Amino acid sequence: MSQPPKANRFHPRDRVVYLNQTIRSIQRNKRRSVSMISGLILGISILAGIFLYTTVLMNNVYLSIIDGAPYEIRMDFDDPLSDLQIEAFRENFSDNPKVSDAQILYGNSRTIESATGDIYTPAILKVEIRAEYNNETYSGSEGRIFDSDLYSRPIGSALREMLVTGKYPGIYSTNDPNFHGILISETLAEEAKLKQGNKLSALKLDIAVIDPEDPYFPFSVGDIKGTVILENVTIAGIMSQDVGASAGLFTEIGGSFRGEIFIPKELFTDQGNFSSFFSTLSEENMQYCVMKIDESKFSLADPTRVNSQINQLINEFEINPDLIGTNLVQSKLAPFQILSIFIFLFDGILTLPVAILSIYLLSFGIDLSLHERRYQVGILKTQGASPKQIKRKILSEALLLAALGLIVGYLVAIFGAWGIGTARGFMRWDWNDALTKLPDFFVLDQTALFVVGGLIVIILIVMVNGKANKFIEMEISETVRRTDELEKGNFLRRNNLDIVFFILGLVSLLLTLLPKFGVSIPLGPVGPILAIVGPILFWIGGAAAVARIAIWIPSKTDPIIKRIGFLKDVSILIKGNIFRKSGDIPRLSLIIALTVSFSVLAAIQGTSGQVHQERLIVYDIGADIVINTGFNVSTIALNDINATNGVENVMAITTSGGIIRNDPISVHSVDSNTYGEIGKWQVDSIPGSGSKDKILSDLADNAIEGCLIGESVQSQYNLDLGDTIQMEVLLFAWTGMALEYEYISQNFTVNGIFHHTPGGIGSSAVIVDHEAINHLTHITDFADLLGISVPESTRNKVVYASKYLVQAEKKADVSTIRDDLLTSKQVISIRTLEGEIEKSYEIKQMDFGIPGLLTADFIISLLTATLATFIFMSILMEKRKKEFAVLRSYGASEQQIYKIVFSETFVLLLTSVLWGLIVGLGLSILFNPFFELIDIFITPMSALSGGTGQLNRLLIFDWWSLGFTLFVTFLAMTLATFLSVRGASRAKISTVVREL
Amino acid sequence: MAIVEVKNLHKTFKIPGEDIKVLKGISLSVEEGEFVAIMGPSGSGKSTLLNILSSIEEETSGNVLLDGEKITKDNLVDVRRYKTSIIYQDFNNLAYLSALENVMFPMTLAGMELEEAREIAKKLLEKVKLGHRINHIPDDLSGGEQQRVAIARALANNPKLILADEPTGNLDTVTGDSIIELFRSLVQEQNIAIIMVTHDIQVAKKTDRILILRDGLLHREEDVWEEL
Repeated sequence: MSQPPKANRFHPRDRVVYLNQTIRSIQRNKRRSVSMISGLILGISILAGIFLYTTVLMNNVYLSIIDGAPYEIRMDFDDPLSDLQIEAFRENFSDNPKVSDAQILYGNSRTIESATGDIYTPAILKVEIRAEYNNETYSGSEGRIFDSDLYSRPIGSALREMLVTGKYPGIYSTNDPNFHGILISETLAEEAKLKQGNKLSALKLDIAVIDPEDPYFPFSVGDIKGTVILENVTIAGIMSQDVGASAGLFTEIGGSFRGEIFIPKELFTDQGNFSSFFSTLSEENMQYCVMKIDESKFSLADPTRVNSQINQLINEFEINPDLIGTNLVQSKLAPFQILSIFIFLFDGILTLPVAILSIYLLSFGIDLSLHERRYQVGILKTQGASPKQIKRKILSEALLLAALGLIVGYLVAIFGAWGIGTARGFMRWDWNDALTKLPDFFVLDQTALFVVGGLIVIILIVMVNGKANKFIEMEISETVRRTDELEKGNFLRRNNLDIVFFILGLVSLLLTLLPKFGVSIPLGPVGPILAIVGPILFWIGGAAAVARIAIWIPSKTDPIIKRIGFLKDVSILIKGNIFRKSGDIPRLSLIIALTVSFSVLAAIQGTSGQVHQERLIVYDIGADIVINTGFNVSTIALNDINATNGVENVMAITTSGGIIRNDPISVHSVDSNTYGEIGKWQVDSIPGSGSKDKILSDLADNAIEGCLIGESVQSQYNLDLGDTIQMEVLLFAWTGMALEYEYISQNFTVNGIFHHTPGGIGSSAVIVDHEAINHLTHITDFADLLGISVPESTRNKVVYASKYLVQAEKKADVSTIRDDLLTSKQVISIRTLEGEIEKSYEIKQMDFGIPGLLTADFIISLLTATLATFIFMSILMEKRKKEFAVLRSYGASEQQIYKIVFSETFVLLLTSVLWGLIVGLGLSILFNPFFELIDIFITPMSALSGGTGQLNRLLIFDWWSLGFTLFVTFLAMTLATFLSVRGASRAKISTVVREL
Repeated sequence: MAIVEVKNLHKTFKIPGEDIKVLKGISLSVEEGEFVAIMGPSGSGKSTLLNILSSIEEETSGNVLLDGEKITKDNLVDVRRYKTSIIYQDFNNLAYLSALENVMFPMTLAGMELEEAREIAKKLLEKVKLGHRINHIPDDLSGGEQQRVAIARALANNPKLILADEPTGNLDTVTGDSIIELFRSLVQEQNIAIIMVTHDIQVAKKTDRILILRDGLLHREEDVWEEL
C-alpha cells in the first residue's frame, strides 16, 4: 500500500489558502482579535510616538534655533582690511556650498586676546539719537552697519522676516520695502520711547574707543575717531535682543544681537561721507563677516553632528590664519543636546506605564487565543499535529494582526506626537497653530518603524512560544474535556507580593509626607533606594492589591444591593461573587486601577505644572503690573503713576547689596504698609504658620531697625524671630555729577521669615522697610559724603528705585493702564501679569512638551480603561451567554438581564475606579520630587527678572476636574459594559442553549 | 381546545451562499392535556419545530398560535413566562443557584414575591421527589435529579404547555422512565400539554401521539396504540 506523500513545504497555492484561513479565523474570533490588536496599536503608537515626537521636537527646535538665528557663523578678521579685501572674503564665504549667505557687518564690541595675553575690547560704534518729538538725546548705544540691501539677502531676509512678518514677539513690521529705515533694539526703543514708523531728525554715528581698563562700564566714552550724521531716518523695525530676557532655555532668537541699531549701508548716500567714515571703521578693525548656513547640507536632526559640521566649516575657513571663527549657535545647541537625551528618557518613563498596559492587553489577547483554542489544540494533537504546527497557527494570526497594527499604530503615533508636540499646556491647544503644524508631523521615521516593528515581532514570538508550550504540553483528554479552570490569580497575588509591594510603597509615601510635618527619619543608604523604587512599588502593588479589594468590597455590598426595590425581581440571580472570582475580573480591576491611577497622576501633575508655571510668573511680576524705570528714580517722581487712571496703588522695591558676616547678600526694601496689599502673595510665601500680615505689620512697627529674612538666610546664620544681626547695606546716591555708593552698617532685628515674596525676592535675600534705607542714607558717613543734611522730621519712605509694583483697581483694564503708563517719561518697560501668563502658553518649547506628554498619558489611560472594560466584559458576557439564554427562555426581559449584570459590576467598577484614584493621589505625591527636578532643568530662573531659587512645586488637586473626569470614565466603562451585555443578551437562544 | 395550532409552517435558515429550508409547510395541532412526541431522523426539523413552538426561534412563514394567540415581540416575554416552559436535554440548571433557587427564579422574574415563590418552589420540588435536596447546587445532584429540578422549574409559573427537547437523552433508561412517568402524571393531574422531541421509540410509545417528521414535513402521525 503506498504511503501518503510526506508533508513538505507549503505549495504557493497552499500559502494563499493558509492566509485565507488565518484571515477568517481573525474575522470569526472578534473578541481575541480586538484584544490583541488593541494592545498592538496601543503599544506601537506609544513606542513609535516617542521616536516621532522626539525626532519632530528635535527637528523643530533645532530648526527654530537655526532659523531664528539670522546667522550661525561669525568670522572676525585679525587685522584691519580694506573694503575690497573684505568684499573678497565675503564672496569667498558665499561661494562655499554650505553657506547660503554671507554679509559684512561693521561695528560692535568684541573681546580678543592679544599676543601678550591681554584681553581688550576694540572700538565700538556709538550712536546718538535725536528724536524729533521730544528733543531728547540718547547716547551710548551700540550700532552696526549692514553691508547689503536690507531686504534681498537671506540674512537680510531673516531680518526682513522679523520686520515684515512680525515673527517674533515685540517685532513690529512694515510691508513697505521703500522705508529707508533702521532697526533698533527693544531696549533702545523703550529707553528712547521710539516706535516703528517714528522718524529721527538726526542719527549721529560716532566711532569711539571704550576704555580698555573698564570695558564693562558703559558710560565712559573714549576718543571719537569719526562722525557721520544721517538725517530723517525712519524706525523700520524693532528687534528683541538675545539677553536672556525671554523665558525658557530656548530663547526666541535673533542671534547675538548685542548691537542696538542696524543700519543699512544704503543710507550712506553721500559716498564721500561714508567712505571716510568707512575707512575709519576699517582702520579700527570693526568689520566682521556673518554667515547663514545652507540647512539642507547639515544634519539638523542630530545636534552633535550639526555642531561639529558647523565647527568643521569654521576650521576650513580658519586655514587662513587671519580669520577667527565663532560658532554662534553652539551655546544653544550644546545644552539642548544634553537635555534631549534627558527628555527622551523622561518621555520613555512617562509612557512606560502605558506601554506596559499595551503589553498586558496583548498578552491577554494571546491568552484568550490559546484558551479558546484548547479544544482545537486537543483535537489537532489527536490528529498528529506537531507543536510547531500548532504554534504556527497562533503565531501567524498574531503576526498578521501585528502587520495591521503597525500601520494603524504608526498613524495613531503621528497624531499622538502632533497632539503632544503642539500642546500649550495640560489639555490645552491653540487649534489654529496646531492644525498649521500638523503636516510637519507626517514623517516616515524608518528607525521608528524598524525598531518598533522588530520589538513587537520579538515580543509576539516570545509570548506565543512561551504560552503555547503550556497548552501543548497538556494532556489531550484534559483539553478535550474543556473544563474551564478558574484562574488562581496573578503571580503577585498568589505569592502575596502585591501586599508587600503596596506596603513598601506606602512606607515610601509616608516618608515623603513626614518632612512636611516637620518629622525627619534618617534612612541612611536605604533612603535613596526607597525614593526611586517606592513609587513603582506603590503603583504596582496598589494596582495588584485592587484585585483583592475589588472582590471583597462588592461581596459585602451584594446583600444590600439585593434589597433595593427595583432589583427584587432579579435579586435571586445576583451572585456576583461567583463571577468576580473568575480570572478575568481581577485582571479587569487591575487594568482599571492601573490606568485610572496613571491618568490621575497625569492630571494632577499636568495641572500642578501649569500652576507652577503661573506661580513663577506671579512671583516674578509680583503685582498686577511691574514697572521698570531703567535707572533709579525717586518715588516722589512717580506721582504720575499713581495718578494714572485705573491705578490703585504703587510701591517701589529697591535692590541693593549687603554683607552679613563677610558674606554678600541681596537686600531689598519695600513699603511694609502697602506691600501686603499691592503684592500678589502666594500660599507658601510664608513658611509654617506665619502670616504675611503679621510679619509686615511687625516690620512696619520697627521700620528703621527691623528686617525680614529669607529661609536660606535663616538656616545659613541660624537666626530666629527676634534675633539681632549686624548687616551692612550698600547705598547709592546720585549727586548730580556722579553715582556714589557706600556700605553702611546697622543692627537689624528679625521681624519675620519668608520663603519668597512678590516681585522676585527669594529666600536668600533680606527685606527692610524703605524707611530703613532712607534713615541709613541720612545718617553718619553717607550723608556727610553726599553733603546731605536732613532734619529729623523729614525722614520718610522716599527712596530711589528702578522697580515698582502697581496694583490695578478692580475691573480696571490692565492693558489700558499699561499704555497710559508707557507715556510717562520715567517708565522704560512694563510687564503685566496677565500678559506674561498668556505669553508663557505660547512658548511651548520651554517645557519640552511635558504637558503634552501628560495630556497624552491622561487620555490614553482613560481610553485604555474603557477599552479594557469592553474587552473583559465582552469575554465575561460571552461566557454567560448561555445563562442569559436560559433566563430569557424562562421569560427574563432584556432589562432584567441588564439589571443582573449592572448590580454585580457596579460596585466592582466603582471600587476599581476609586482605588485607582487613591493610588493616583499617592503617585502624584511620590513623583512630585521627580517633576520638581524637571522644573529645575526646563524653567530656569534666567527667565525671570529677579529672585533666586526655585519656588516649591505645589501639588494642585483640582477636585472638580478630577471628579468630573472619573465620573466620565465610570460612565464610559458603564457604557462599555452595557454594549457587551447587549450583545450577549441578544444572542439567539436556540443556538446558544445547545452550546457546551 | 387546542393549545397549539400550526398552519403551513415554514422555516428557512440563511447562511452565506445558500438558504436551508428546514421546515417546509407543517400543520399540526395539540390539545390541552395532550402528551405528544415528535420523532424523525437527524435533520428532519424536529428541534427547529420545537424551538419555534417554544418561542425561542421565529418562523419564516406560516401561522403559529399558542393558546389562540400569535407570538409577537410584544407578548414574547409573557408567553415565555406564563404560557410555555422548556425542559432541555442537558437540563441547563444555573450552576450557581441551589435547586430551590433554580425553581424560584422564573417566578421572581415574573414579579412574584420571594417568600411566595419560595413556598411554591418547595412544593414543586417535593412533587418531583426532591424535597430533601432543595439547598443543593446542580453539581451535587445526579442527572436524573437535575432533570427533576428542571421539570419543577418548568412548572413554576403554571404553564399550559411544556416543551421538552430530548429530556431523557442524557439519562439512563431507568431514570428516563421515571421522568416520563412524571410527565404523564403532570398531563393527567394538571392538564398540561407536553410536546417532547425524542429519538427513543420506547419513550415515544408512552405518549398519546407521535408526530414523525421527515425532510421538514410531517410524514406520519400516529396514535400510540397503533403499532409503528
